[in-house]
Amino acid sequence: MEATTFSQFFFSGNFLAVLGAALAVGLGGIGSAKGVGIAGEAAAGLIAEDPDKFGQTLILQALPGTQGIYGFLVGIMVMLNCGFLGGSAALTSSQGLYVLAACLPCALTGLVSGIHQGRVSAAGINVVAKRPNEVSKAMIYAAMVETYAILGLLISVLLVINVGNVA
Amino acid sequence: MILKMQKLTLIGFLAEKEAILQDLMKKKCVQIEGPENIRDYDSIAQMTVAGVAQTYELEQELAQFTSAIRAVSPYEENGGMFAKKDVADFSAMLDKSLYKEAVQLRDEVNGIVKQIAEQKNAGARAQLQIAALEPWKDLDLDLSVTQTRSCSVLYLTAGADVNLEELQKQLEEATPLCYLHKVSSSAEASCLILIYHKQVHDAVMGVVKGFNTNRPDFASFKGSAAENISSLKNKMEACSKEAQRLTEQLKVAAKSSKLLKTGFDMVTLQIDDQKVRENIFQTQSVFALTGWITENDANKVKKVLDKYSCYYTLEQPQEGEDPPVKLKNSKFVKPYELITEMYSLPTPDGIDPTPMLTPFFIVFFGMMLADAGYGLVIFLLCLIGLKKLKPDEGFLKSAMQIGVSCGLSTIFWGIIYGGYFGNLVTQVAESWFGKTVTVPLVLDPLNDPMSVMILSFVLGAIHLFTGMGIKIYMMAKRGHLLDGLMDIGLWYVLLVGLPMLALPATAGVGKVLSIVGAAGLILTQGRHEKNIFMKLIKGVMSLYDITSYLSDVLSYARILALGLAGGVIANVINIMGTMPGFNIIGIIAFVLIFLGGSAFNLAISGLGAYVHTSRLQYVEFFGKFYEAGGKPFKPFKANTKYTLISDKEDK
Repeated sequence: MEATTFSQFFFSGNFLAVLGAALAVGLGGIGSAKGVGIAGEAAAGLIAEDPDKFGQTLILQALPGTQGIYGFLVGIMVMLNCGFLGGSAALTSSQGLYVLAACLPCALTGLVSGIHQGRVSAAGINVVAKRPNEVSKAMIYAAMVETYAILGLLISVLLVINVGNVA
Repeated sequence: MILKMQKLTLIGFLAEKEAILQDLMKKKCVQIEGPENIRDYDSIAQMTVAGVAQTYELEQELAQFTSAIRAVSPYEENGGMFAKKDVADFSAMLDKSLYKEAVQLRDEVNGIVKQIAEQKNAGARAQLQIAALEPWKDLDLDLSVTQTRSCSVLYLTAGADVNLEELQKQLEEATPLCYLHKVSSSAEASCLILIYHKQVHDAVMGVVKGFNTNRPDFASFKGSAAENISSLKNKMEACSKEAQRLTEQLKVAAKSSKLLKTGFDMVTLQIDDQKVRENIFQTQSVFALTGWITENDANKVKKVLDKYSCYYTLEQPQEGEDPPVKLKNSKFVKPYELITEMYSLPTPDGIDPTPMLTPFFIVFFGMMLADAGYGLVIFLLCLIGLKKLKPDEGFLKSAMQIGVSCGLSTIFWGIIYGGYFGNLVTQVAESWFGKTVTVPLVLDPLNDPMSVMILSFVLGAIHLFTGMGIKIYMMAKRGHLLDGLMDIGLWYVLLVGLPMLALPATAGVGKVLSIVGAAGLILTQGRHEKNIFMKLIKGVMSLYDITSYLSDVLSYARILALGLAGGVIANVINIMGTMPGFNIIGIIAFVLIFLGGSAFNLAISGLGAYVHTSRLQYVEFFGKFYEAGGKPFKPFKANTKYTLISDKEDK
């Protein structure tokens, strides 16, 4: 077996593709973790006053959780499409870079939109505190933020699926 | 459809007021408004006084019912959120003797609750006293004895910092006529008894004061500490037995909790009846009220009012009046009024979007979840829920009905996409049995996402065009058909023409349509400006709106994205589930992973599908035409909590 230098390893296709998957899962997860955390703090404050609103607040808290799932999804798509699950992955450097770049839309939108969606959800929980009947409007506000994570996910997935066609 | 409202103005004799109000409440179809809405309000305002709602005492009664119901609720059978409501006639809700029974039971329950609390308190008190006496239990002296003929007996507790030997020594130095005995000692304190001759009281006290001691209060005890402890223990036991006996009584009372709830609703009815009085003006002999009824109910109300010697009018709403809004739709569309109401009701002169929104909601939801397995779960859960729980009109029923139709749609799109709990069949066959199974499908979102994306855009365009069509219709209804055609019709031409440019076959027609549309917009959109240049500039600027149409259409890409996301998560669950292999442990692991994962995915993806379908309705669709801001129709009725007042006519 020939010796691998650091730079050879660093620019190996497999490493770059895994880096992409790691970014998608990691950044998306960070965004969601922060978002769900922010919403959860607000929800806990409300539950102290009115435990009956647990169900409504739980839904609002769950909304910013999707970015992490989207990132996870892109990670899985990378593993499936690059053959990491079967153990036969052998990507060229350019393919690896392609996958890395393909993961970025989902990773970046997930990070930022997750946090901001969490803030909108927390504000929505304040709505539930005063007007429990308006919970669906608060949900729509939170969903407005999620739009961009969905678009990021869509582009990432479409790009990753296409990896076979990249030389 | 928005029901047409009529304004009811009624003037009647005070003698008949109660009867009329009761009949109107029974009919549940009149919304009574403040008297300032009476048309000649100014001319009658000075002659009349507003009614007063006397609810204070009723609220107190209600509060007592509430606490009684809460007290028995833990012992109720088949209670809970989905408990069925009783049905009662209106007249039964006014039955005085039934109410008396309810009050009797309520007072009994509240009395029992009070006694239980007392017993529990007494028990706790006894426990505290036992704890206080425990250190003295080795002393066989009668605690009530504080002196004999010549001696004083002093009980002392000394803090841990007290040096007992020093105390003993100082006492001995002060006088020989005293005796100090240590009863018990623990880490925190020592219990002492000091007996001395009355003559040396001052000397002894002088010594004791120098040490950190307390005198426990035994005034209420007779007999030795051990005797007291055993009697207190008996008392405690008696208390807890008594509390148990009372709780049994509460359980018996819980069997007739229905009566309590009926009583609660009877008071609620009275409160609702009182509240409306604030909206009724009266002089010494007549009263006046005004309100809204739907045209359909007009005859019903007429029939009621004709029984009385009162004067009333029913008129169409006038300019400047703001009638409440009530929607009426076919049985299939009705549950989706929930979606409209969540946004906001339409204005009284607007249009009810529910019938138009329904088919799109069903299709979009189905495409976003798009899994026959999940669809079947939702469909069955909601269907069984409707059959078993028989919820009355309201949120739960509507939500379940929506679940039934959207579940069916999800099954349909699942079949189209070939999703049955994701790739369950293919995955299990491949990894456990090494066989390749292909599931038939029409569209494959994973391998051919572009087709699904284009389908999403086309459906989105239809959705938007429908909204724009409704806008033209609304403008036409208000006599602005020409404006509608110029402002929206020309966009139709341009927006149909542009995509046609993309295909060679239709490019020619597309070119003509695009040019006609764009030119038309440039020429018409500045028509309100006076200056010719401003007309042109405004016209050209209006083309910039194309970006908003573009972003509206692109927004429908979420249909593909959510469909993909749900499907891929389902696949991942199946892959993880089949990883442990085909053996006993593997199968158990698979079942656990599959059930947990599917429940999670169904919850998250279902929530996402609902939220984003709603968003497409509220932002993209409603944005094109909807005029929101109607006030909901709230008829005067008894807002009972536990009882359904039957709609049937009383004899």
